[in-house]
Amino acid sequence: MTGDSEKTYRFKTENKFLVKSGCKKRMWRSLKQILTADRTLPWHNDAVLYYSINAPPTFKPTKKYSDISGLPAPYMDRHSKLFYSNAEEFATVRSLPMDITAGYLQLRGANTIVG
Amino acid sequence: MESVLVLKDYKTVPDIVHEYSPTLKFGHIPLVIDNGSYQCRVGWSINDEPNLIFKNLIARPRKDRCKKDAEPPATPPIQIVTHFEAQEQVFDYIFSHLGIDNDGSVPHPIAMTEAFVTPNYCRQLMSELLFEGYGVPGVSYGVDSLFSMYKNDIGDTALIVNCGVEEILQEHCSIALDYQEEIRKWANPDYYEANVQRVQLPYVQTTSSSGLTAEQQKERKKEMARRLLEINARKREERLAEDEEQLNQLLAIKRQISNIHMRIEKNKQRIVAAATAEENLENRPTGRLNPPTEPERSRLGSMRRDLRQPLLKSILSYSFQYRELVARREARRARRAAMVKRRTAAAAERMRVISRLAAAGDDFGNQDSDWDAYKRAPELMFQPSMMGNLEAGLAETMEYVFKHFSPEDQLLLANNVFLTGGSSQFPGLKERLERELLEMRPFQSTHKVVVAKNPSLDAWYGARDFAGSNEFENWCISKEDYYEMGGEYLKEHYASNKYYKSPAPIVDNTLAPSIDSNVVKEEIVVDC
Repeated sequence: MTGDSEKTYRFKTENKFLVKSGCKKRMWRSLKQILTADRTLPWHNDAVLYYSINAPPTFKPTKKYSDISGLPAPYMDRHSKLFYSNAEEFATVRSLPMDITAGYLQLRGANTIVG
Repeated sequence: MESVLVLKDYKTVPDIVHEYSPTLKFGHIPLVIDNGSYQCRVGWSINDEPNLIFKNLIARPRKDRCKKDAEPPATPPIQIVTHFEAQEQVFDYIFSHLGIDNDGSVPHPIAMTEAFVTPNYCRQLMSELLFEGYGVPGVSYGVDSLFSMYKNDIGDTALIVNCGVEEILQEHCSIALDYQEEIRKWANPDYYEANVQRVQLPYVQTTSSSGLTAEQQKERKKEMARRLLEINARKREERLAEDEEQLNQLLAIKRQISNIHMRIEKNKQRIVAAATAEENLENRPTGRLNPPTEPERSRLGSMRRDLRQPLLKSILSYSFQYRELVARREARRARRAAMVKRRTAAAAERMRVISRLAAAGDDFGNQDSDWDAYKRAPELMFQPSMMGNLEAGLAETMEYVFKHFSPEDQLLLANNVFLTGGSSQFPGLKERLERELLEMRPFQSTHKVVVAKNPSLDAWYGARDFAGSNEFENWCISKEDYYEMGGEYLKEHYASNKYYKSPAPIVDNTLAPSIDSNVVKEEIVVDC
């Protein structure tokens, strides 16, 4: 399926949203924008909407896994804040440059304020 | 450990254009579209199987590069369509491949799936597209997981676990029954070696390196080394020439200084000589030489002064230049020394880091730990915190849902946990869910997990049964309904979303009162 917007089909009443290339393009609202717009409306109390079906935040303590290997990690390197599971990994953690440790932390989302 | 998985490129086969038989053309046969986020399945309601199954995405040739860019019409996380230009292309594709050749309209009612709790705005655009773009007589929307549930005939009360997009992973992944236990096993190197699976991604070797033999590469390396040596030699020569030049300059200055010294001496002597001559003249006045008159004498004195001053000046300036040059040379030397130092300590460290970074990109896959992801990735469903997502996992969310019901209803739900959607084909998901239920449910209570017979296709089968039923016409939104009730309107039926009419927005009186409450349309026009 290659985008061929110039083609017309006989079963079509009109091209509704497709535009010829070179014309002004309509920008679509992202899901986020749609939901934000939805949120501002005074919905009835028992209306179930897309944004209201999100999973609740977790109440269980999160388990710690090594950032290097994914094994359960009982330890944390105080210097870089990375989790590690044994001495071997600790050596690895210590040898990593700053940008890589930062990448690992970001991957785990350790930089969020709430977490 | 020799199990190396080779990921094949997904070969797509072009869909055939189906025949548009008179039965279809004049029979007003409903068309069933399961518009999933991964695949789109389309077929007539009188058929047993869908006619078209294709990946719901559009390849678009990029202008700047020759690469193809895949752009799914649906936006993750679940299949809510937001990009309707793409959706229109998908419809074009569907209708043309079904061979529809009716002029000006598509004369078939459409049964279509939509995501659970689709925002009204999206449904409005979808209806607008179908009614105004294709002139369909009617459309009915239903939730795919509900269709799937009714297809599996498990009753009206169930806790549905619908897992969306299926991807390549599911063939190789499984869900750990007990993740902690599993991961502890993996910590043991023997177990690791026995179970690790290596994945070979499709890899195209770059032509530049592949065209050279080892011999040629060695040759090239030698060449490089030679060139490097040459460069170094040239640099040394340049430096030597520079130094010599400087030395010559300095020597010239030295010569000049001695010259000046000599001149000064000469001048001094001359002055002395002149003074003695004067005295002699005064002592022995002969008629031949007139003693210098007063003005003449003063002229001589001033001449002496005049001579001395520029001389002094030039000496000063020369010595100053000399000192300056020496200072500059010293600075240069110091800088060179610093460079040498940098090359040894700090630079070496920096190079080490850089080379490690470069290598880190390359040796992915050499280390075994890179590849145990095949159980870790699906585990994210249960522990989103591993990825930094603070939402509750699947099991915890189920527990949360249970809490909203009375104990009796909870029991009903727990005994009818229905698993559908592409991702539910993960091996082990059912067992894992059963285990989680056992953990969360009261002691000795029962529970049951049902997996859809065909998790990816049951939604289409369910929708087909729905479209084939006698009541289908009543569940369809007709063109009149569309114009009467607005684009977001939805006729509720057993497998549909609930319809909540969009309330009028709170009108802020300070704003212009011309905002039409129903048409919340926002168009941003951009030149392309």
